[in-house]
Amino acid sequence: MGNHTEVISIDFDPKVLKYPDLLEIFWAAHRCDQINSSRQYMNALFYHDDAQKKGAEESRAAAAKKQGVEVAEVQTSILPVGKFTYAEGYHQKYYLTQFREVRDILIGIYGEGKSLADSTVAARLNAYLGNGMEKDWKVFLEELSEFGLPNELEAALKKAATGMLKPVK
Amino acid sequence: MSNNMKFRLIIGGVVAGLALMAGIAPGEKLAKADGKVSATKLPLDVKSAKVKFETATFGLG
Repeated sequence: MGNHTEVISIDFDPKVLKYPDLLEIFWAAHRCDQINSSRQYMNALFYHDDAQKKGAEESRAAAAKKQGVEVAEVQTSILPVGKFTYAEGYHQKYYLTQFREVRDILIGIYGEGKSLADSTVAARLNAYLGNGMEKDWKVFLEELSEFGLPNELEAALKKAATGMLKPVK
Repeated sequence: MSNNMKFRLIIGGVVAGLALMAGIAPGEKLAKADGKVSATKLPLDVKSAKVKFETATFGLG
């Protein structure tokens, strides 16, 4: 493996979600004075344009203040985004790997590479299954009809999801 | 909703891919980002492919 950094790339609808919303969650997930162990595993914001750069810098300053970190001690980098290469299929949609029947059907539709990573359906199912169905069960059922899933996939999904539901006491 | 929960939702709740940037070893056949959504076989994916997405990229240690 070469000189690379592992990242997550999020394509988001700006009509639904704003970049600062993502920044807020990013900063809540780590301390800005955490020392990067390597280039491969580093805490960093990779900006795509000047607006993102400005937002990233402002959010880093705010996070440092909130976390009580001196400017000189901040470790989180802000860098221009580089060339993006998809990781291997087994890295994609982590939570689906725990529900093989559902994942295998999706792989049958999209293969294991870029198409699966690009799929909004796969991304949402991954989120639902990873987040614990009991928290989102009603929302899930409401959305399911919009997904347009093949019967086989919908059945496997309900089976997996039902198994996660905790009995009501 | 806790921040952790939101983070997990966002990681999986939008089109997201774990990726490597720069310096991939020769011989590895991994897809390059081309700005196109290649998943268009299921109705929701067809609908999503028409959305003008923005992209955010994070390194998470």
